Amino acid sequence: MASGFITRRGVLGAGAALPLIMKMGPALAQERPSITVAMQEIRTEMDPLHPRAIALTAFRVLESIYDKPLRIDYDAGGEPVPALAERIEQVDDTTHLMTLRRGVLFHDGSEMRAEDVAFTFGSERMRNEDAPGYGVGQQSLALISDVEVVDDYTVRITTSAPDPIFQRRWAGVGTGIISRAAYEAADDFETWARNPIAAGPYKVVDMRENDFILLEAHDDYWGGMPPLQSIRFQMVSELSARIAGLRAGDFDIITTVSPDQIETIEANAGFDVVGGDNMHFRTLAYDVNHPVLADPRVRQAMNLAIDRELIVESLWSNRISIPRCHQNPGYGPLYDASRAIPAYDPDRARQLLQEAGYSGELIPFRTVGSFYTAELATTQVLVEMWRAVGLNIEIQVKENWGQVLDPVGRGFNNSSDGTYYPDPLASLWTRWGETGAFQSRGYWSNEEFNQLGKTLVSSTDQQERRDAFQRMLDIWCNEDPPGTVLHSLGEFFGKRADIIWEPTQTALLDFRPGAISFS
Amino acid sequence: MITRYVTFVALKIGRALLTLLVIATLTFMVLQMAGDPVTVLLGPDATDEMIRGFSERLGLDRSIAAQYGLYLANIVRGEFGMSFLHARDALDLVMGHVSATLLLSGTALLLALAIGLPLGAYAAIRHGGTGDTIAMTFAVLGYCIPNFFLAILLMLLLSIQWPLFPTAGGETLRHLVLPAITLGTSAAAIIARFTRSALLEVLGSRYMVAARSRRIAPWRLLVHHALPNAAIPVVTVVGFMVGGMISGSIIVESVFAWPGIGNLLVNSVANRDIPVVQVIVLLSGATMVVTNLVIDILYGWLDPRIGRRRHAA
Repeated sequence: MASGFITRRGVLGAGAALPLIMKMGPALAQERPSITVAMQEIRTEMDPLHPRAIALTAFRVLESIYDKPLRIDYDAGGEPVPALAERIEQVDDTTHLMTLRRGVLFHDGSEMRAEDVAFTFGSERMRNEDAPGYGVGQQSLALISDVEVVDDYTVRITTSAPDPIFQRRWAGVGTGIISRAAYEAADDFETWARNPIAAGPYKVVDMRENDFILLEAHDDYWGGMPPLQSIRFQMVSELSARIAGLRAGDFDIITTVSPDQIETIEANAGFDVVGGDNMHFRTLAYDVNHPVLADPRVRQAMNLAIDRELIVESLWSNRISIPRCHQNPGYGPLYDASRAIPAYDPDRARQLLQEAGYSGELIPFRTVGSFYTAELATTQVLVEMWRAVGLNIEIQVKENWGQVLDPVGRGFNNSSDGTYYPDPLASLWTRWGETGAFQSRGYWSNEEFNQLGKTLVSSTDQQERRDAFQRMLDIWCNEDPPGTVLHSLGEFFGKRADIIWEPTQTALLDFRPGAISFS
Repeated sequence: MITRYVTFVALKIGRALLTLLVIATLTFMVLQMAGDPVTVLLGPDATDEMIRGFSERLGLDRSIAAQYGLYLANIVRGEFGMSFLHARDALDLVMGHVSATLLLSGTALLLALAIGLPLGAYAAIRHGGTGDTIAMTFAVLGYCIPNFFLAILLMLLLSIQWPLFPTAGGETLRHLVLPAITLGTSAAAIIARFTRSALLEVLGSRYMVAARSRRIAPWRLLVHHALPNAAIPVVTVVGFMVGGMISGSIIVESVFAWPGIGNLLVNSVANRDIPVVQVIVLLSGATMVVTNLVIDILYGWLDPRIGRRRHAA
């Protein structure tokens, strides 16, 4: 009876099979691996402008949920390249046009339009003083005075002053684009922040405070199909438990591995450790209101007494580097490669202390002991180095940052400066500038430094910016140091050896297409 | 008689409420004294603007006295406020974690009873012999070994060397095994030691000698005569264990990432999430109070003389 290729039974069979065939796409997607990342902390406030979302642990999750108008290509010299924006054109000193990529779909399937971008950086969410994202927005996007819709795929951005790093800002903290409709449909900002709708490669499907965040692939991602089916960020506070879980096969990647555990992990051929250097700075912060630290010569002596190379060799197995003062090679033309790393000169330190009339007064050194990798060990080593030049330093281990930063009885403390796009405005100025954390908390102030900072913020002349920045480094590192850079903020990650993956230059976790694969 | 009993119960409840008020006040004061909650919540990178905005949103820009007054007024209304950290109703948040802790501590307690009671009884029966020495060596080890160390040891053995159980999380019953063993081990050791000493006292008493002279079978002697009479101190210590399970589970939940209130408490204290800490502390206090009441009732049931004495009083 089979008289030809097309039969009634064949057609009916094909019809029946059609839904199955249509399901094959997702079925293929199901074959992608899922991974579990164990982190010391998770933050379930997942809006980048939420004040709780400004920690490194939060950025690591947000990196998979959000895309920004631009991203920094560190392989191409740290230059911004298109992401959700196709291009940004300068109209005049304070006006730019941002042209959006077409066909970008949010996690809920709706298309990203100009009104979403205008809303993301608008008054209701960020620019009004009572907006929930005002505080974080002021940190890196304070110059934006207006974002208007020109057409469906173009916005006009006006700044209150010329901005020399306008493009780089759009790859920085707080610039992830959100869906306006989804934001407005949420009951309130907190509810929204637990289940945001954005345009990144993975979407939030489940979460539980103090436990986990589960992301699933956003298969309509504009940048291609995400390589992972799902990512579970599991909170495991104890490092030893994270290592045990990695070795037991419960976790695929673990964060914040201390250098003394690297050998333990790599002893098994099935696992290795990646990471190390990144653009963040591990620092000390001096409070010049302390009677002894008021004299810059004492602070200079403290900096000269630190043998940074010995610290990096003994505590970090030479896996991280010492920045040449508060600058990164990624700063491009602003970077001075001829500037030396902070000097180790105990004789000069002793001489400065003598000149300052220091006679053994106690200086309190506050630390939480376990916030930074190898923090307590570094603290103890530092105290011995200072003791060797005659400084009397008392370690005060505090339970939390509120106690560390309490101005009553404060001497100095451990600290760090994050750098989330390659420019001193992202770090030196944000942290130590006139409105930065340290000056606003009363640690230190320097009039010339602040004047130079204004040039750094507003000048569009690259040479002028470089001169201002390098002079600021002279003040910060040598003349009137309010702190010092110890080394880069080393961050190590343990992982399964068959996972081919590296953290970003900013110690974040990128799981976009091309960023992770399996051997 | 009834009036006296009602007065007795009212006095008990009044004392319990006063205890809870003192607990709430002390927790509030200690957390307030131990650092500005907003600075702790937002971390060292927060600017003044962020701190100011967040303080206003949480109502922490008010005076300490105003915050305390509002807090007490809310408690009276049965409201514990919103979690600073998670912007959710603090009571809802805690209750969402209670079942996991109850499951863990309940399993650990059952495990402790299942091991501790027979081990203690065996040691008492074999008093002075090798069996007693071995049983008590295990009990001392179980009591002395720190939870944190035991947790890591179990992970190394039962997750890495022999991959039988997962190391972290709380999705399946397999996740329960290692934390329950860790939490139950020291409890089993305590129960074994208390059971042994209580039984030794009972076994040496005259009525037991008399019972033995009547040639009652040894197992019957133990189960029907010795154990019920030795139960009072064991019930007391088990009662304390039930009340202290929340604090006991803190380290275990943290190491195994078990999603219970111990883990929540650690995180909430570290982040000065005062409403959540208050709920957990009050819940712990209430558990202790209720447990003590239950023990009082159990005493009367186990030893009717105690009930009669109280009744006479």
